[in-house]
Amino acid sequence: MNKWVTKWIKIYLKCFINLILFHRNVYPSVSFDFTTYQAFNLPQFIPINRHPDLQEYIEELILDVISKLTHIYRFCICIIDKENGLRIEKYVLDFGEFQHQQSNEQDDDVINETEVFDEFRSSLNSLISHLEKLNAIKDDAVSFEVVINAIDLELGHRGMENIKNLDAKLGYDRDINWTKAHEDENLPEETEHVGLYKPKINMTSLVGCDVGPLIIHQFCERLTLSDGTLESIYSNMDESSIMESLP
Amino acid sequence: MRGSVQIGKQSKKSLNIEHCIRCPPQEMAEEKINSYINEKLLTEVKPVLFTDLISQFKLGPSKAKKSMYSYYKFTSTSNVNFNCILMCCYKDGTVKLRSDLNNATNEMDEEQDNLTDCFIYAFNPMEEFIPVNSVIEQMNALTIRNPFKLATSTLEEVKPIQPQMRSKTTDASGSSSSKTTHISSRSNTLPESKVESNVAGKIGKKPTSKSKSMGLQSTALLSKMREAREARETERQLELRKRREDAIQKRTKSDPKRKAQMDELNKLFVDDEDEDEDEEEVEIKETATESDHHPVDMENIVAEQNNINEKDEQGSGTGTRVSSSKIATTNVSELEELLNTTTEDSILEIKKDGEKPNDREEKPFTSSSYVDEDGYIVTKRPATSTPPQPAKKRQTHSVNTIKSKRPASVKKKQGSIESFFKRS
Repeated sequence: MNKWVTKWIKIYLKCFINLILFHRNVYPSVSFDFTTYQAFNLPQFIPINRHPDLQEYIEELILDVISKLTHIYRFCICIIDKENGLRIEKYVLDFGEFQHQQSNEQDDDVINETEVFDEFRSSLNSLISHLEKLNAIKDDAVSFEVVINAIDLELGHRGMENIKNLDAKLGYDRDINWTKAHEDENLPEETEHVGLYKPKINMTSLVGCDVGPLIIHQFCERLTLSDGTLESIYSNMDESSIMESLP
Repeated sequence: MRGSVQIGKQSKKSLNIEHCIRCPPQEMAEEKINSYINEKLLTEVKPVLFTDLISQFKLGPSKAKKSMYSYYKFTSTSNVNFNCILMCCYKDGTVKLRSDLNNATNEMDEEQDNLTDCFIYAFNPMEEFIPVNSVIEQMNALTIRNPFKLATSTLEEVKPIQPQMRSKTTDASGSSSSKTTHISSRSNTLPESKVESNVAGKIGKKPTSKSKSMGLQSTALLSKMREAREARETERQLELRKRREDAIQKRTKSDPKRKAQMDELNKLFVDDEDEDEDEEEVEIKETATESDHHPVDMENIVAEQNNINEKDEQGSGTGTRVSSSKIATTNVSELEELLNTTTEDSILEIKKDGEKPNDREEKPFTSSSYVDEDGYIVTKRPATSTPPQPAKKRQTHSVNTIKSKRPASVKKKQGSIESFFKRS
């Protein structure tokens, strides 16, 4: 993986995360600015959060993910209900077919940044148009978390060691920062949600990237419940459905 | 074309346009355009502007607007979701982007007289309309052209040369085996420029070759330059040594005479004034090398004449040394004349007095500044140019002169301080 690919993935992940946080109202929309520059050129105007801590968190998260990218086949941003920790939405980037090893050096010359950014624009626009159609989320109702699916990766097993420099510290932190989780169906326990309709997951495929080694698939999942627990999150769930049904 | 295409429920005009569109020869083009819009809007998920159609299909703007509208009609029956960006032009020249269509239809009825044009500017897959402008080559799609033509600045004569250059550069970069290729390209280019610079203008070529060599081999060049500089430096050093040695040899030849003369002088002057001799020594030394700072014993100077001269040589460059030796010889010759003509002390003293003004001029003003008062003492002062001992002598002599002045002022100050404390 050469440096340009690393840079492009950074840009892509940054746009991806910020778009989700903006459109799902995880943070107040006034804290976002539409910008094309955030330490590097973005493919287009993207709402980027201005909070320094959040920026730092996202930056470190991205670097962490990129450092493990050879082992990761899925990267998920989950929108969770603040009250009960239910994952109501999940945005997934699939790195299953990502080409980590380049076949030969000439690929560097073949890929053009304009092509890459064109592809990023397509992918991000697809995400935006999907996010815009979703029901709006009430203020202060959700948080977000990051989940990765990995192969051949055992984290958190490093013992105490002498940390001599910043790289070692970052490596240690990035090893310790992750905890193990079950790969569940993302469904709430059925005993709690007994009703006429079982909870379902609504999955939508979005446009991904396919430029040279950058092969990323994108899809998102949405939990649908029938018992009205989600009404506390979505601001105008019933109204919108009524509006849509009207001619 | 009337051009007033409206998205609202204005049926008459839209009917007219539909009639136009359904002409058989245009159908193929319409299909192509529609598929293009579909492709861009749905698979690429990008906003489609009517100018995209213009540049893509070489249409006029009116046709592009028409085909935008026809696509809108075409998809309005199916459930394709996109947003139309609607643009309105008014008689007074204002252009508006309609964002509130519900109100717009009502307003349009009122403003219809003012409305000159209304068309679909773009199809947008998202709510937010953030188009991205990319570079478009508008060779044939232009409807209005600038009266001036773009002229490339390269001369016709240079043209045959430049392609060669270009191809070489691309080869060099493409092969990417850096050093050897660059060197070869350089060796090729230089003779060409020599030959053809006479025939054709040098304008195109030279800067490119220069920039290439500088950009790619800057470090190599720098190292070469450094080596050359070092070589020159070493040569210079060698020459300096040679010259010094020569000068020393000359000195040793001329020394015995000097020794004898100076000894005689010493015998003459030691009894009366040691410092007068010092002056002469200093004269020689200062005229020879003012930058010389070797400490010299006042009393041993005459005895250590040779040593001093050698020291001077070591301290100073050869160029200055030559002049100093000349000056020294002149002084010696003068002394010889003096010795030959008269051995009387009085005459010598007069001669020295004559020389003294010159001494003052040459000496730094610091030494003469406080000695000005007594003319006779001044003659002894000039020896102060040799740093360490003059300091001692200054102290001894100046204490006598200054002490008479200073105590008064000091006492005054003390008195004032005491009085100040008493008052407080």
